[in-house]
Amino acid sequence: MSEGQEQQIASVSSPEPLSAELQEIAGDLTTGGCVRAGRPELLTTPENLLPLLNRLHELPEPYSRLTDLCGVDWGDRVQVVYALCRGYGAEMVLVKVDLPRAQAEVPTVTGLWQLAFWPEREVAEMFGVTFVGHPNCEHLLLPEGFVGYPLLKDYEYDRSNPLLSPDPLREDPDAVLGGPPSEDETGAS
Amino acid sequence: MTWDPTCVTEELVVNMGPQHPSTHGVLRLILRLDGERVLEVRPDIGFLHSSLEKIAERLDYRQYLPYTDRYDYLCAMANELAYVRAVESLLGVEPTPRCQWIRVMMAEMNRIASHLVYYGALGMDTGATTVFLYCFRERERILQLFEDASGQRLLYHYFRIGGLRNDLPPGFCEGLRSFLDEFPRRVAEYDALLTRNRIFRSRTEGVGYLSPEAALSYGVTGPTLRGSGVSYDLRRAAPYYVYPELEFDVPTRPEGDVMARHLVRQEEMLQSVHLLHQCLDRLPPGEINVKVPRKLKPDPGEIYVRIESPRGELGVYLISDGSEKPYRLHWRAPSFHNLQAYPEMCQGAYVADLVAILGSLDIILGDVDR
Amino acid sequence: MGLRELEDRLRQLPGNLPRAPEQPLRRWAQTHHEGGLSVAFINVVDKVLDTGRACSTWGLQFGLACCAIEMMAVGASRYDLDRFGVFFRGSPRQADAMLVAGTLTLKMADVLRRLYDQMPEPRYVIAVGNCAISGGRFYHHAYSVVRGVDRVVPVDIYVPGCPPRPESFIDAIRKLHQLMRRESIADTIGHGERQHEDFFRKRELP
Ligand code: SF4
Repeated sequence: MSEGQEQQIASVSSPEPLSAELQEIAGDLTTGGCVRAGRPELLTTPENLLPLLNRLHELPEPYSRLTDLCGVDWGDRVQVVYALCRGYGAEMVLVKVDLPRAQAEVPTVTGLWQLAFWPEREVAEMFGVTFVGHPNCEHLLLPEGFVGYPLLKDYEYDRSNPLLSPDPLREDPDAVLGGPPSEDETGAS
Repeated sequence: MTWDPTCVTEELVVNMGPQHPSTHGVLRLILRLDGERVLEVRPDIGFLHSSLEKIAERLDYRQYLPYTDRYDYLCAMANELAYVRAVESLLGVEPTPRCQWIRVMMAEMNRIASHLVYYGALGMDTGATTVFLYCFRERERILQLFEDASGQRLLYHYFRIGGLRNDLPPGFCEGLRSFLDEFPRRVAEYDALLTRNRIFRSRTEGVGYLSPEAALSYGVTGPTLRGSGVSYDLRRAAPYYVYPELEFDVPTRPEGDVMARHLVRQEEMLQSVHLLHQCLDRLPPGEINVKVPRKLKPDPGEIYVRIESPRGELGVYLISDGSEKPYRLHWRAPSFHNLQAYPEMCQGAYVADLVAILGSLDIILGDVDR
Repeated sequence: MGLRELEDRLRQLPGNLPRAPEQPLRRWAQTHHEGGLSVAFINVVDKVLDTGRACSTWGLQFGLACCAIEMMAVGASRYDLDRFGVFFRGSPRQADAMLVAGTLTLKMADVLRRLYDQMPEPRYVIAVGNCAISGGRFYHHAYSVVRGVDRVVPVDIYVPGCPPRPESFIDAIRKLHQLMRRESIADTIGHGERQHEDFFRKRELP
């Protein structure tokens, strides 16, 4: 499956193969990977995620800093992207996990980095991903009781909600104001 | 009245915000208190969540530019810089040298303006209202320059994909120079007024400690991190545009308390002045725009761009699927991650310290909630 | 009041109702006394009260987003709102006018309404910025931005701009003072709480 996806998300600066070093470190835990604009990307599965991150974390020069965590909706699958940095340096690697949309479950990484608490909650409420083992996966940015996962591609907001509904005057001024002004009205004003 | 040893004290849960004069926007803090001491702080965010990431998927690359200003409204130029850089790298376009210098200049000016708001707000939070007025006096001068260049005071929409809206207006460089000549003296004034004030010092020194290890784990960046003794600045670590050619220090402080973060920001304003002097001296003449197609359709691909905004590491993760609209845009919001470390800093603090610690984080709720 | 109740309450609302021109005090003065004198007395009281109100307006600073920064700038050195007697307070209980500046989101909507309900009468609302007027830039695609503050509280003055220039801000304050000078205690006494029907009360400027 990784082959097809690599084709799909081919790169601006055409992806190159992984460096030998990363291939050796992570080869058996990944299902694909490439280097894009000088930045490696690793594709893995939910089962292999934690071992892979642990391994990256325990290198002699570890990728010790998680800087970012986000989700991407690719239609039939949801991808969770982890951005790891090598210490406080410029080197960065993206670890991506593909999850089927119907059963999106991935282990939490809050045990490794405290940073993951909020971003995981955010991805959970925006994409409907379940982070197994997350201590508190309530809504973070959205109000309690919000229905739906807004960052999924097919999400549409609730237009019947009186707080969000389109303004009738703006949508159809004629219906509200009773038609366009007649000739002499405009002339008078 | 004598003290009754059998008297039991109870924990108290207090709700601070979301409408509170010293929360710097709409942040809600749920506090668990034992008398004056804070046992637990739980920030509740999302009161300014304005769907910016979703909107990006519905608009085309150019239409989204004004929204980047609205994302972290105190450093609009930095956001524009990050977004424009991301789109340009997707398109494979390199801005002209003059454009790069002007962009760096604007970003640094915006850093000063943003730190001035921080400075005034921290003064207000700790009870020194006057500093706020002084800081806004200088800030108005920068805003005036921005307004001359872009036509807007706060949200500029000055960077365009492939260049700038217009070249610098006549008189801009002179105006900026006179401001830069005067500004260090003003900083000394604030320093005397606020930083060396005994009350302020006793309220900030040793308060809100953040260890470098915790900062690493929470992904804290920016001046907040540098106040904990880690010298990490993306302008140094992963330089972009003309930063490699410029000479500047990355101020750091080992103490990790509110005062350390405060001093780092104060020093950073002076470093920005230093940078701006160099920019003005070396600003090359020439074109500011490169040709980009009318319809922007980057090849399918993705890019992760990071820059140093006044609040820390600002990242843009942009995915293109070959159409006119971004497929996905994700902001790595520095305030979001910095705020997450807030409960850690508040351990064992008093209620009155909370506000000072929050002020020293310099969060912007638009940045936290997106 | 939670967000759900607020939404339900808004759903049941019949629409824009004009405010009932009921003035119990004035009616009483006209019928029970030598009409003219009492009415003149009310007018004098009005003048004193309204001048006081207009000369010292305490605003509830309800800053939400970018416009709030402009609001701070207006209150600070160069534009100096204190000249107009405007003083920002953090508490609704002491405020005459609420300045809603910024993007109102779903999560914030019921908080706004609650704070409005806590303000003493007569109360005024100024909506600052396109976001507060109609959702502004977020009108078309946002899933979490309320399309205008006036869906939640009645608004007296709208200040367009994204963000509005400080000058238009000051203009709004002057308009507010005009409104205040037209307020009569005859309108407020006997009304107590403004009722559910004037949820969407609108006042016209002279
Ligand atoms: S109207 Fe414009 S400036 Fe004001 S809050 Fe909305 S987006 Fe920000």
